Amino acid sequence: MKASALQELLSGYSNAELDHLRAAARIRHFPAGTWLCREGDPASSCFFIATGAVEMVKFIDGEEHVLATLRPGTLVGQTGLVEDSLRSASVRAQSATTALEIKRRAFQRFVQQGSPLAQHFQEQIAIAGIRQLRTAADQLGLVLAQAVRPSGKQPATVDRRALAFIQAGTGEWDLPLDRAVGAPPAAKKRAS
Amino acid sequence: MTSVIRAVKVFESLSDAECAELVRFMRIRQYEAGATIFECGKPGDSMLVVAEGALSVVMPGPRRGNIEVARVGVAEVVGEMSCIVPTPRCATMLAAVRTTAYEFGRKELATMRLQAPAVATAIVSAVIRSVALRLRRVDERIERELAGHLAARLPELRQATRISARTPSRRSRTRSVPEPTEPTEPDAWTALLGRLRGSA
Repeated sequence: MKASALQELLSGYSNAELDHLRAAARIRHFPAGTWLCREGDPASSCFFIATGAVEMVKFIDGEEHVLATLRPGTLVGQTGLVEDSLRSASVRAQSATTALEIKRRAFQRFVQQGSPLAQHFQEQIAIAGIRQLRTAADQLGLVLAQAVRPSGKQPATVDRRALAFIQAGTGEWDLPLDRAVGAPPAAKKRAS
Repeated sequence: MTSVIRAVKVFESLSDAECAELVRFMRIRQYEAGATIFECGKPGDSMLVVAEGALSVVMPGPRRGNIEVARVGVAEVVGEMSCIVPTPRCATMLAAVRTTAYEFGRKELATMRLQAPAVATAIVSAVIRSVALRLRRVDERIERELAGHLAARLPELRQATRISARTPSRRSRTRSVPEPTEPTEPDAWTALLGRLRGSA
């Protein structure tokens, strides 16, 4: 089995820690074209991609959209470790893929041990979530930029500020997103 | 101090003892009204919890000066993700009035990991939950936009957001898709651990 990303992640940790992780996670193999998880399914685990590659897929109006291709070393579906939710997208093996699947309850037990490996894993999950949030905020900014400007034109100054508000608000601070429709109210007042 | 931390929504999952431990690692900061706390684009690796007063999030105005776009009040937190992933601050923050805040940074988190690992783990868990909640809100918002009046403009959006699209017919319908293999973790784990332990 090729497991270079996993080996890289796990090298340097003690045998006892590796045994704890072994109890918390399964190594799974997915032939090309098979699904790791499907949009709308209950989410209760995340996948660390060890070898191969996976595609994140969404169906919009019956049409398939590949949102991203993810390589070894990537975590997918980490929200499933945090809360009861439904998968927001499907994940499919683009090529033969090996993944470490970690279930929520097992992960919680693993993290509660507070070992360096558990802390490292938890930090990686946090980092993956934060990156995903920032990417999503940027995507939302682009979507709204298209919504507020006439086709082919640059957004107006006030709109650019609104987009900056969205990206700042979601990227770092928990500002209410509903205020980010077009321009923020304060900006509208001053601009008029 | 602990009562303020106890009231912070992000930390609602922490126990009283964990809140008290977090306080032990925090630094008290005091700012005069109008003082710049974070500057847009400058590196940031700490969070602030407002204990007294308020912070003002500002952005450049259309001509000159700043426009306030949000306020952060008592028991609200800013920059909690920066403790885990240091990043340039994405907006400027000023003290709206004379303000006292508690600061907790990446350095303190690293110390806490060694001295109080269970509390450090609980704090990172709390940040992960907060990130997951925000992510869901952003995803829902994107869903609403895409499902609504923007649906008609998908081809244009695809180009702008570099989302590739294809119909299922080009792939799924023409290919027999194998089923995932049954988990083979005992063998896979044995091989992996053999390699790791062999190279240790």
